[in-house]
Amino acid sequence: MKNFTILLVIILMFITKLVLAEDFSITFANKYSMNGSVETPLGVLKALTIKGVFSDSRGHTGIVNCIATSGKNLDFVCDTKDEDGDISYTSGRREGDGGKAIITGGTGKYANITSQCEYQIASFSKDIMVGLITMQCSTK
Amino acid sequence: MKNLIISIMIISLLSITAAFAGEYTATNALSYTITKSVDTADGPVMGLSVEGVWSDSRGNSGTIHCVGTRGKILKAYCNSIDQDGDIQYNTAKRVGTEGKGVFNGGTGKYANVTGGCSYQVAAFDKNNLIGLITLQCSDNLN
Repeated sequence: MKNFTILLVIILMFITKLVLAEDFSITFANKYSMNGSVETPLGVLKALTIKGVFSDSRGHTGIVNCIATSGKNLDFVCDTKDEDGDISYTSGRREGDGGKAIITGGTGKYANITSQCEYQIASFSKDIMVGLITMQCSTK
Repeated sequence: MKNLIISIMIISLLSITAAFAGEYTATNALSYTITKSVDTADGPVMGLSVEGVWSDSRGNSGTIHCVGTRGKILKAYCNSIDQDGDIQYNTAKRVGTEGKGVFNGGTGKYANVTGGCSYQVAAFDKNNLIGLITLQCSDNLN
């Protein structure tokens, strides 16, 4: 009976996790363009535009478009458009080789969906300003 | 006894596979530049210059540069430079979103390495000429 109860609790925990959270990963291929810079009390702040494509573990692909500022950290806001034309909105901050992002709603299937993400720069070239980004997200 | 023999055979097969071929996956982020195009009997053929970065499941990463042509078939010659500065020479041939790559040696750890990859265009933006490529590769790198 005790084993049965433990098994039931484990099954319920899995079901609860499936209902309340969905984990997925996204890979981005991004191209970065510098658009100017300003001096600030904290140092030089550069403006960036980022254009790229993505593919995720849920089978969605599409394009990503971001504007960002790069100083001590890199702060960005992005919109992504998938193969169905649905748009999702993302903002985040990078510190070093990784960072955190939050996906906050959008259109179509992304409306009212919020996801917390962590990401890493898998590879980046300063010479050609192209980066490969891997991101792990959880939707609650 | 029968199960034991089957288990030994499977383990042996796996060991042989591991000894002769290293299988791994890689992902490329590529930026394409179209140089010139010419008309041919098979239709227009464009010149391509491709630059990008890559990362693989063996923990290597680096840059990749290719030159090639794209008509009905995309053909390219590429150099991949890893984090140690070692260069791998390879060629690629793609029809549609599916392609094959072949390794032809290189410098450092890639000298005398042969093998190849199957690859897919996971995502591509025609307006900005950026592509995300996934590869499944096999080689004889020790």
